[in-house]
Amino acid sequence: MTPLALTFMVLSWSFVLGLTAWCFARVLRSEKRPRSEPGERVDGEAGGDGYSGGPP
Amino acid sequence: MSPRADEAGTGVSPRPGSADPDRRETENARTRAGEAWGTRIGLILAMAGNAVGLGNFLRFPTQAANNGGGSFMITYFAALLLLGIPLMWIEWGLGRNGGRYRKGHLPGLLAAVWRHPAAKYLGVVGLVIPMAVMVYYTYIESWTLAYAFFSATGDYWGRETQDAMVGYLRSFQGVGEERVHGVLTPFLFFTVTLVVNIWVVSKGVAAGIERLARIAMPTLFILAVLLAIAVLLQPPSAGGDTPIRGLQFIYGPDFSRLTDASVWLASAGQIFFTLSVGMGSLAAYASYLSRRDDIALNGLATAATNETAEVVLGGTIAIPAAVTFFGVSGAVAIAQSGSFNLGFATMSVVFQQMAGGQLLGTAWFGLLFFAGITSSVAMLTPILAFLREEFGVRREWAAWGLGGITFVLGLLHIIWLEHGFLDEWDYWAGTFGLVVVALLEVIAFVWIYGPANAWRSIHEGADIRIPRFFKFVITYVTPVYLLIILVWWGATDALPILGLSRAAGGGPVVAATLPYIWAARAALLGMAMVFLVLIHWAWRRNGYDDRAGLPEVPELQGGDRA
Repeated sequence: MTPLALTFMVLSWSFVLGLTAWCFARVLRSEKRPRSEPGERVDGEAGGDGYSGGPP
Repeated sequence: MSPRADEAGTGVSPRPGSADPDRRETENARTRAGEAWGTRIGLILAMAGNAVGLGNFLRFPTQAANNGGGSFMITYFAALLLLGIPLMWIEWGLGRNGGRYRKGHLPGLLAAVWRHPAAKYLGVVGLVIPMAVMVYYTYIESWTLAYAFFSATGDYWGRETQDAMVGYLRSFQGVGEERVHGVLTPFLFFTVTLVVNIWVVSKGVAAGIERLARIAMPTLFILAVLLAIAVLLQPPSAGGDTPIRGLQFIYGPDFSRLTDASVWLASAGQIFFTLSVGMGSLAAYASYLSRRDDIALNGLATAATNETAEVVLGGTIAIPAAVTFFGVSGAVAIAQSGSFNLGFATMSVVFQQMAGGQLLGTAWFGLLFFAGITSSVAMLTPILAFLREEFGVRREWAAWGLGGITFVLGLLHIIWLEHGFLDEWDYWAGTFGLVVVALLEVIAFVWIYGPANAWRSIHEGADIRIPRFFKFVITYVTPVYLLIILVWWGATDALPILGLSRAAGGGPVVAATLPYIWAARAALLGMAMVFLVLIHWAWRRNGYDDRAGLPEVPELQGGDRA
């Protein structure tokens, strides 16, 4: 396997595995804390008409 | 989600008023009846199961190998970030927004964001397409079940060449002169596959679809990992070919292809198909969520899980195995002859050369079956939601009724497979139609509902903040990307196929197949007409006022429409 092909494979695998691991780590972490309430503003948005933003 | 379920760590929050004992009783009853998602992980697995399908293991490696290898991955990940993940969020957002009005079907989802009489009728494509794809996808899924059985029993053992196994596949499909099995064999496996599908769907979201996903998805990943290890450990063939050469074949970059527009479109198409966007089924699943439930992180986790199955596992099994046993030139020819030849014929030859081949063959086709069934059970969900929400049909009756219709239509595909009936449906419903639905969803949710509203909606209850760059992507880049795909495919494929200058399955149109092509088109149009009448009837029956908007339903369980 050429170094270039190996590089592409490693980068591709690292990206998808890293993204998957990060997502599930965040899912598990968010299970352990209180959830956000409706009415919070999304960062940078004008107004907040009952929609919630990210975690407190 | 019931308070009890939430205590179990569902990630789905208690509803306002859930302290009310009567309400809690109702909610628990609904949860026990399997009418809402049970757990957050279950939801992600079901969504990922919807996305992970046959294409992850058959279509991806052939697309990568045929379109520049490693350089294809550059265009592939660009399409993932600019098209796939944004569309994932849009479908989840559109679906959950529809849930506020107790709608899990596209006519209702569009009407929820666009107060115009045309909205509901445009949504007809969101009923026709999943129904049509469900019919032929279940049929193809039945091949995987049959081949798992044939592998376990060693039925095709002794047919050790590619040509012999292609003949075996054609024989099983009832195409050509050779007959290895009884004429009823494909009908039998189709019936069994369909019954299993309908049984799962009839059990509802939590007790049926989610329970299946919690079993099938881990099983699928375990089987895929075992198969990938078995392939990678194969010794060099007599010609000196190894599985590593297969990986080289997939990932070796050809940078000259980066300036080829067809490569960018091929990668966009692969991303589009692999994530199951444009079907309406992701939106239907999301309609069972409430405003307090996260969709930003869950949507991303769904896409990421699908990508792991596709890039890491899908790319490590079929093509490396084909290169090891057939050499690079053989694998090129196989890849160009289509995904089914690779998956069913080539892999069956490969397993006959490997130690423990019967077991590995059963695992491979079992893996494909699990990948298929977790997708096919999602396809009926929008139609089931439509019948339940608008006409009050009981879930079991609706499921088995739709199963009966699927069975009858599936028979046409089995009988007329060699005449291009399936190819015609696959192109108009399973290829071109998906882009049309996705474009409709984006226009309705982002442009008509408004980018600010869409952005806020996606962030309701979110566990992550999506970088603001994606607001620009969702508003401009994704719709333009879709429009380019639609125009390109329209010019290069749709018009020639519509004008009969080219067959939907490739090659010239044979005069003898013309009646079947027209029959396939008539069936799709007939289905659309029936759904249009039903939509019209539903709106009149339920007294919906298009201009005033759909009546909002107080949140109970995040949905009780399973």
